[in-house]
Amino acid sequence: MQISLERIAEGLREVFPECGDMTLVMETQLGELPEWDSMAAVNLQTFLHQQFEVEVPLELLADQTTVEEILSFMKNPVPSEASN
Amino acid sequence: MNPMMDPFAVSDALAAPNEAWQEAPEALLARCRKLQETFQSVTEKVFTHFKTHPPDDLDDAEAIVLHWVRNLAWAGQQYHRLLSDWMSDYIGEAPSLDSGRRLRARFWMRQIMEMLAPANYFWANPKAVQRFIESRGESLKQGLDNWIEDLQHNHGLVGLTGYDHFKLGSNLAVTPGRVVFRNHILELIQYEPLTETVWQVPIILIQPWINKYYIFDLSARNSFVAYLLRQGFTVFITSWKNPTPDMRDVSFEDYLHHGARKAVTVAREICNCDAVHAAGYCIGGTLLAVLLGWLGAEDAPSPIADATLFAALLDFSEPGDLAAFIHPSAVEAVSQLADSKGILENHYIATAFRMLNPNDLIWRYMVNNYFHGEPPPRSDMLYWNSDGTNLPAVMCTTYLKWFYLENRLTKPHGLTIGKRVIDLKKVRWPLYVVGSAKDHICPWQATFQTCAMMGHPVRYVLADEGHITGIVNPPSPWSKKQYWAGAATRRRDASKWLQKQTPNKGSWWPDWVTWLKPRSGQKVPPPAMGGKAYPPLEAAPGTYVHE
Repeated sequence: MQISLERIAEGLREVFPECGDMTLVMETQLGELPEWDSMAAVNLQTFLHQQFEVEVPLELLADQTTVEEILSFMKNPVPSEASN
Repeated sequence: MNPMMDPFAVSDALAAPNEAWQEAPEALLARCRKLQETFQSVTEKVFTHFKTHPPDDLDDAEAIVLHWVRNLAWAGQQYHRLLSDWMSDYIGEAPSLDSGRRLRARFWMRQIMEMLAPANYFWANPKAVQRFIESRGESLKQGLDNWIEDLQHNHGLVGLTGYDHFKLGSNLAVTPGRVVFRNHILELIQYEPLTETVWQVPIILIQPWINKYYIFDLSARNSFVAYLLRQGFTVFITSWKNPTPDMRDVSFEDYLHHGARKAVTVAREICNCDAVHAAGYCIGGTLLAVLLGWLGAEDAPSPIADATLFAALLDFSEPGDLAAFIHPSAVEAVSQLADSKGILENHYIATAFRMLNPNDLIWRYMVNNYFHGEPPPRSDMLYWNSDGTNLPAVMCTTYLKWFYLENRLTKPHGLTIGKRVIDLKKVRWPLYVVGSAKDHICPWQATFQTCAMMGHPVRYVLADEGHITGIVNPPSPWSKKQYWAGAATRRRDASKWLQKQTPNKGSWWPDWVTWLKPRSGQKVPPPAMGGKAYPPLEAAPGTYVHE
């Protein structure tokens, strides 16, 4: 399945129905989603794996992570910079 | 009401805000008027939406059904959000309500409101109806099969993951090691070294016995055990026996003496060293602290060089959302339940933990598995989450009473094990304490109280994320996580401490290794697996983890 902002946004709405009418854009951070927490991150990880067959590392799915960063990883899962 | 009719005091919790608002009738009236106005405004919005969104194709019956289901779901969401927000404020702003009753009211109301979410009802869930139409009913039939499967094999708890995809020792808990010791409650696993030389002082990981040990060895990329091996440590881990009814009399003291203390002894003998790095996670951390207090009561060389507590409570006065279940009548009911069978069965514990996060651990999966007829997704972490254990009756009752009800570790002479008074002030070994910012089970501010309760010195680390993901926190080039770390000896005010810290990017694991290394002696050849005194019994992950 092709990876796009629309598909990711659709997925976020599916995993987080509480989003309601919230506008999801590239700059939206995961921490802004209603009821976002660490178990929600696990659920988002499994959803992305099911839908796109890409294993997004859990450590990428944090409060400050933007939709753009998830999209970027899924299109090119190569580290951009070293971190410990 | 008879307390056994409502052991968790749900009715009391839900009535508490009503009683509190009686103090401010005018403010309550204004609040109700506001609700009425908002309800009216939402209703107007809903009718306008219905009028302006007619079905596209009046000749297609399926499209018309889906259209009205979407409208119904949308309208349901508007009313649900209105009511949820109003109830949240009603409880949050109730005057003169003490924090414990407010927390319980919020917790039980959350259970109700999340249950009432429109998506949890078939005709208000467009995706469920769409799949039903597209599959000609097959999705709901499959959902029914999934439900029956859960009733028959999962105590009625909804499946969180595809259990057939995971196999311990094959794609979970795969780091090579050997079971080097076994008794009636414990298997001790020693892992094979990954470096040519190792630090003299080994690490013993004392795991909680409410779940299986392998949360620290889920997969190659997030294994805490493998990470420590790569840093040159010899690593041991406790794998606890899943209690059976004949273990009803196993006590907290048994876990202390035949579990944690025995593990320390075995590791020291295998590594031929005076002392070990001891680390305990969750209840394993509480057990380790009691062991430190027990050892501190004697004037003898310590078998523990330093201690680390991961997301562990010693002061139980603010035990997070679990407080909703902690009530004298609840503890009495749980004790009776455990006593009747000899164990508290793991599905009761699993239900309680799922209720801490009902959207993520109950409703999402009920919709997916039953309404959509989909298999649950694959997730190693959710597999582990579902792989719970029982608790022995005596240990369970003691633990709830000593710690959650009586908070004994905070009281002078509050806890005596054998003839030794457990006085944490006498614990003088270096201590490393980790809390997680979003931990619902061991809130970080509560874990921070350890800094003032113990002797010294203490380094405190605050990881972001939750009870599991804050601790299982591998270094990674993609990590967006952060942590705060600094000295916290005798500090009580968690917020003030945090204000003075600066965030660090990534995982806190390297910080722990940096703290451990100067305390680890020389680099030496790795010890033999088990050695002569403890010949290996079998390969990891051993036997108990499969029970």
